Amino acid sequence: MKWLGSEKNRFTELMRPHFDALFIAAQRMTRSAADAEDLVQDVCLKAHMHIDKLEKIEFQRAWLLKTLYHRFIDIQRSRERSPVDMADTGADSNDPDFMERVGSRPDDIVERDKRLETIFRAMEILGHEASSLLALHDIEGFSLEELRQVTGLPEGTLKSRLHRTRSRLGRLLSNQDIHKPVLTVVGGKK
Amino acid sequence: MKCESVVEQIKALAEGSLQSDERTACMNHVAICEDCADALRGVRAMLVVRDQATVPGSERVFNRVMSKTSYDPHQQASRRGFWLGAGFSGAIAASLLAVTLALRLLMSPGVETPIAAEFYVSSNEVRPMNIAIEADRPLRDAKISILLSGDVEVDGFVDRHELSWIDDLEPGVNQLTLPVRAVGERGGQMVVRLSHPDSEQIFVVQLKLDG
Repeated sequence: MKWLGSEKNRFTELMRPHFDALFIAAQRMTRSAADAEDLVQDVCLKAHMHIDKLEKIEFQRAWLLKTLYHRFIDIQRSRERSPVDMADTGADSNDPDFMERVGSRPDDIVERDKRLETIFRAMEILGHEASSLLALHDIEGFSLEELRQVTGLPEGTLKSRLHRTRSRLGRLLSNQDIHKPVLTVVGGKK
Repeated sequence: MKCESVVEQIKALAEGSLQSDERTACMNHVAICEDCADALRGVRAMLVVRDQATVPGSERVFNRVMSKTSYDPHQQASRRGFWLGAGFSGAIAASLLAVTLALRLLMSPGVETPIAAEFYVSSNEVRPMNIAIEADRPLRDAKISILLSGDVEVDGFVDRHELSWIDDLEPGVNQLTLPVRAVGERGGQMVVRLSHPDSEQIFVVQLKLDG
């Protein structure tokens, strides 16, 4: 496949209308402007590789946001396996400009980050599909009708999945064991 | 009130936007239904995430991300060209050994010990370094990162010491070809890191100057 000089413009124009939504969603998850930028870049790399497919999708923003949530959960999982202490990945306290703009006090940030870490841990346990569906509806504001068109699932199925996922999330958040590492069988050698 | 009705109203309940009578009916149900009480807790958690303060992305951030993502046509063609495809048989992989270095890397669950190898580079020609990545199952969104140090570069990526992209690996052998050249007298080192939520593999290639 040949990539012509206009490819860059084509991709830039495709991404421009969705960039703010992606960057804001990434900040919510990473709580850091720099990490948000990295996360959005990962999504853009994936989008770039699937540009032909993405151009044909009606709900491009939903596809991009879903990719972002999947990628975020992957990063969360990778951090847990990493031997490096990644505990200090919360608010971007090294970026005073960012902190000033979001207007948070240090005490609030610590409390908020504890709460968010717990929520993200629970989302990770819920898995890619359930978490991204819930996030698209409850965080990003996609209606059931929009989700029906994006996923191809009947509205009744979507409702029951959303309710089941919300309930599981609520149960996980009321469970103190959520902070303990969960061992998951991820496959085996043939 | 039944659970089905609460499912539709629970987000509005958590947001405080339900009318008084609906709110009362909904709260009465939640008080006696453990499942819906859990769901309300779950929705409230999502709203905590949603209501965080954020700043919009500036034009500068947008341009920076785009410049890192949209390489120029030559670079893009080179990067996509790294992949020769999946499903190479052992015979084909073995034949590649005859002309270039082929590293075999098994992407199976867990973190593997780094593999070290040597490869001879030349300042007179670009030499393809073949890396065979064997996956025991489809690996969606595997991240491939390449770090370069010393007097070497990947052809088409002048002054780029770090390259990374995300791709799907097929079951079987995925052949990655990196065109490498020397740009000085010292040789160098290449670290290739493949990561996936289930697996991670790192290998280090010492790039020595030929002759």
